[in-house]
Amino acid sequence: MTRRILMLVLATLVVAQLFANTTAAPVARVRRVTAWASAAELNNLKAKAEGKDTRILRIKGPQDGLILLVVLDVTGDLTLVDAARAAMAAEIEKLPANVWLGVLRSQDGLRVVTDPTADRPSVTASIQQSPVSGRAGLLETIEPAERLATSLLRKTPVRTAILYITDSNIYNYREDYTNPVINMSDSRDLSRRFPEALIREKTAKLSATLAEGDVPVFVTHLAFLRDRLNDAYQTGLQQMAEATGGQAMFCRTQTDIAITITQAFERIRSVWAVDVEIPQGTPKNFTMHLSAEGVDLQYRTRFSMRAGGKE
Amino acid sequence: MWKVESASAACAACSPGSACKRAPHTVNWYLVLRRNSSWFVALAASASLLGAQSTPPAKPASELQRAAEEFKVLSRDLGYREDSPRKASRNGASRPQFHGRLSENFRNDVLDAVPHEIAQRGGSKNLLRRNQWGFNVSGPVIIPKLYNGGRKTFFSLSYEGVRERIGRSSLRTVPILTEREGDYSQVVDSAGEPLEIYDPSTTRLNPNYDPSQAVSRDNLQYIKDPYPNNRIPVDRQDPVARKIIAFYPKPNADAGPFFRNNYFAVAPETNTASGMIAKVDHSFLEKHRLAVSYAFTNGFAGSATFIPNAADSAAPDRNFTNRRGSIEYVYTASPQSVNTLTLEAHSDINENVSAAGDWPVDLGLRGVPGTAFPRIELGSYLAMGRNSPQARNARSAFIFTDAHSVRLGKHNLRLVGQFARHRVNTFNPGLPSGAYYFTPSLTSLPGIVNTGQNFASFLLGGVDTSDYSDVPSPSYFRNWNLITALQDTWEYRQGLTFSFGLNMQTSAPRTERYNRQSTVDLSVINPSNGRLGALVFAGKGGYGSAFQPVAIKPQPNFSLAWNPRGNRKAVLRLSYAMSYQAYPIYNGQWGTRGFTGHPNYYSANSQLVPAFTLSQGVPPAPRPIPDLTPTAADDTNATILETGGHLPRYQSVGASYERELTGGFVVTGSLGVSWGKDLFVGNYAVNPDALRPELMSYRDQLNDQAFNRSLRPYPQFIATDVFSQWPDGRYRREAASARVEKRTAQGLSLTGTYEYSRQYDDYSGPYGKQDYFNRHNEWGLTAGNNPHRFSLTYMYELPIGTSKPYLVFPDWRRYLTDGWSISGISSVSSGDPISLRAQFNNTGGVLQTVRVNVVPGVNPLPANQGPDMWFNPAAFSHPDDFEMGSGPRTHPTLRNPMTQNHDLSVSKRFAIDQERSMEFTASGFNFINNANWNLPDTVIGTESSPNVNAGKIIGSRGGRVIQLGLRFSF
Repeated sequence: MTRRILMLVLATLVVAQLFANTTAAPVARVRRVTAWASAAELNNLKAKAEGKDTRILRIKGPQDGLILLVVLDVTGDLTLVDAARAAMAAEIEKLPANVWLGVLRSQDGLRVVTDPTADRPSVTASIQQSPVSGRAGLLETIEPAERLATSLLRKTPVRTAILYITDSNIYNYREDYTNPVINMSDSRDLSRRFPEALIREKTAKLSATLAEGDVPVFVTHLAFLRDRLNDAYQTGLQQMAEATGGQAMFCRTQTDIAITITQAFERIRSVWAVDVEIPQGTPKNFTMHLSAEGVDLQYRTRFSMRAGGKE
Repeated sequence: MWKVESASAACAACSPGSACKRAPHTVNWYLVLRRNSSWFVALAASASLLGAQSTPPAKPASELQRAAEEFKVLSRDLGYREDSPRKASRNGASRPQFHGRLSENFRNDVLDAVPHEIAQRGGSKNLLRRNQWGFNVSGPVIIPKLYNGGRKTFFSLSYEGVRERIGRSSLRTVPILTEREGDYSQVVDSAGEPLEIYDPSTTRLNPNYDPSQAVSRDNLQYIKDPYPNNRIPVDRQDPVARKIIAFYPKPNADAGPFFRNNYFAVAPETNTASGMIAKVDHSFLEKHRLAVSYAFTNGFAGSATFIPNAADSAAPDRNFTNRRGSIEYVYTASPQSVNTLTLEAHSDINENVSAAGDWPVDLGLRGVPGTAFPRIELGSYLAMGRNSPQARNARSAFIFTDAHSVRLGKHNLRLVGQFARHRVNTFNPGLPSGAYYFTPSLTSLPGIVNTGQNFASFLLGGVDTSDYSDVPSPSYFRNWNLITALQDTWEYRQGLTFSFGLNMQTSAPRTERYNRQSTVDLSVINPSNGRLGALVFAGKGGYGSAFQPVAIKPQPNFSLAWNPRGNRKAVLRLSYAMSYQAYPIYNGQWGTRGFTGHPNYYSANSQLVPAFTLSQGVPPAPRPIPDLTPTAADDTNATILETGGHLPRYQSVGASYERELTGGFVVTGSLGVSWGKDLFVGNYAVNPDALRPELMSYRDQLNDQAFNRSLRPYPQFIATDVFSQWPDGRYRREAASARVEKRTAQGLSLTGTYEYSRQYDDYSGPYGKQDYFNRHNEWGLTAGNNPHRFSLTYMYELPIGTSKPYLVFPDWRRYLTDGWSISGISSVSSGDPISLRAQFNNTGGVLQTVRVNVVPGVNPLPANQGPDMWFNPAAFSHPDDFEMGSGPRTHPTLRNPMTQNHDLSVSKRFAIDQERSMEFTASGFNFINNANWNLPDTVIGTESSPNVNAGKIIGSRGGRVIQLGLRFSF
């Protein structure tokens, strides 16, 4: 009996140790905090991770270089896509010289169309020439895009952001997130009374993964949809974007598109990037607090670190 | 060949144009080499610098250039470039990824509340056993050593199986024990007074009858003697009826009143289904995409029985098979031009497979071709025998669609062409062993309501009307429709978009493969009597293969969206649309008279003599089939198709205003009006052979079938049947709604909608039209119109656990707090309009239903509305014999009880790793275990024989059902 109890205690300790290994960051590492400020300068900026003071390694503001990766996920209505193309062309023309743009496409996996460049006409041409076809790809490519951009910012100091231009509809994915009725005769199939479960699960998983990245993802959705499944999908987009410090914006009409894209570009251009050193012992999931004298700050508050301390 | 592509240096911590804040610190050096088209970082060196403040600040361009170079390297290494040495999978992983799930949903009555309707009858459980399981897997198509679909070819395969048994309950009325034996001494009417049963064999003319006065107890036209002691002697009872009674259930409940609602049937309904969906999606040459899908379901649906033997009258058991297939090809000709070609095919086969025997022979019922248990209709008593016990309907459709979208300046044009061909192969002898209708008339005192009784007439075997189906072969119906549409979306200026469209619908009427269809043509003279209305046949006598013209209908639409004053947070939308319904193609073999037989038998005067008695058997069919003569529909319930080419037309206008408010709220207000004409209606709303109401002045003479028919427009027919295909209905709906949406990044999504609506029409309702000749008088609230509707849907990822603000634990407790979410749907709806009906229809067959009279000055709404008195029956009265009721078809203010339902789902996700998780779900349907009231009794009796139950509600229904679900996702 005593032996059994000892074995049980031992097993519990082993399991607890296993859990413990995955829940705390063993080494210090650098994270980037996305922020927006009401002033042009940040004086006496301070940061706290999980209530502890952290060292600020680098601050990059709107005057610094910015790599904006535009990911096109357009498969549906030409009307909406053309409106988006026109709006983007106008916004790209207005961008200052410190913003370089790259273009990627999300159909059949993430693909680079144009490398980041200051050459505005080539970027605009890439966007104009990008085909409107295929299946929606945002859910499959948002995490690779975030991984690519986060890897980039780990190696270079420039501000980096991702902007998805999407008209994706949850019914247009290759993978099945809609939980379609298979047995049409089953009138009492209450499992589909809450059909959004699959989408919720997918976006919740992605949000958790994206929280480990540091590049803000902005989503401009060209076609706001009201059905229950797309409602859950669009809520998920919002969650995912905000998990990275970004934002999802939805166009309720075609006429909304130009205004929404303008707002998205303005938001991205004015982003601050604050690199902070996370102290040892900080939990895997932690909150960040920034403050600066006389400045109202909006910033990403919740962060997650990859298990095992590998950043 | 290696060559230096670029080299750069930058201070990693400095802002451009500002003094460096850090010292000492690191400068990273990059030397980027390229070999052929591949990029490699060949050197990355770093050096510590002192006195960095003296170093000139790095220029953004160089930082950006270096970042761009890094981007090339990283994207190449991750496989996101055309020149990457290895390609990433669709989700960016280095090897192919397959995703999917396994799931099981489980229901059992142990988890549920006892339904209220069961508990009210003293029950303690309602059977429920349900398992629903399935899987889904999707990923790239890989055939080892043959084909690697990589990012181009993708499949998805889903399976689901269901095994279910669920108890269904029904409260019905059957004869009390003594009544089964012919003893009516205890049987009472709806007022609780003894019910008189008269012996039809004693019928004789009343020598004192005064034809100038209405028939009444004091002035009877015919005299019948009541049965002594109100008992039908056993030797007078029909032997076939006695055999049938052996299959009739006995009372087992006493819900009342007066022995009514005395049979509570609880039986399981079964559902066994298995189905799959398979899809393959292939992209090629960048501009082409091909998607193929196929789905099937096979299964068995067994109805809950009312009677636990062959006499059951529930819907027949059926096997079903559904097939769906589609091929979609999308060609992107240019960024401004997309073409989509789709070919779809689907078929649905339903086969009624209720057990047959040789029941007519076993029961001693002669003269019918079928073997199923005969259908016995007993008025308000539970019926016996099934409709369509053996039948097969196979529907299929082939749809070819081509859509082309093109951008021209500020116009986006979309052209669509769609051709659809529909087929219905059907074999449906609806009443193979006949239907036998028993009314109180035979055992009544002629001309006196509230005398006689259906079951008493049945005991005597006296059939009032009867018919049966004689169907030697299936029918193979076909039709097609073609749609060509052009839609222009014009962005007039920023903040204002117009959309115009014109859709031309070409609809072809139904044909039959072998021209085996017919209709009565009301413009053709019938040789039997020289009157209009004779049966005509497809492909014969100058008729084509269809009886209606091909209909070409324009369907315009218009809409605009406007941001007032350029404010994107506000949108005004206006819209108008007009559309036509296409010719339907329906199951069953309606419209094949002459090729199929449907003999009808009517009593010459149902108050005096039966059409025949059960023991006599069904008389021989007067016209053996096939009978392709113009008189083949004579003396039957003739089928008539409207041949003018009218199709239902719908129009709608709408306006909405949407406003985004602070806090993430979006509020929308909408107004809409829709209306329609020429809607397809059935026999309840149209009767080409109807008698005008003023003919009720003939009073009791109308009970004489020959006299009655002589007054009709088409006396050669007993009646007419338009099978819900006559374009004569109208409706109008006005609605205002408000919607509030709230969506937050914290995982909350909430939508509340309220709608107020009024809908009127001239055809709907449980009892149909009273006056076929006065459309205005039939205009009233639509049955089923719920003026107030509120719904609330919500989804919420609970704010606890990892990446959430509360209960964030770094240790094992996170397994308890992570991944919780709830979803819910609540709906509350006010009741629909109450339709009141007079208990007795003594109009000589002129009116199919009799409405009630309104008593002036009496409030129909009681002071304390409740189940004991939902409405005040004193506010209504029964019309006199041979008179119409003056009240409306549906009451303008009285409503049935409101209904509400609240469903909630709670789920907990256990993350195993980044891709795999297990989700447990508990769903509660009607989770607050709310009971919705049943509908009130809306039958108003006469002054001398009131329906004491009128205005009252018996019981309620509903109960909480719990479903547990487990899903493993990978």
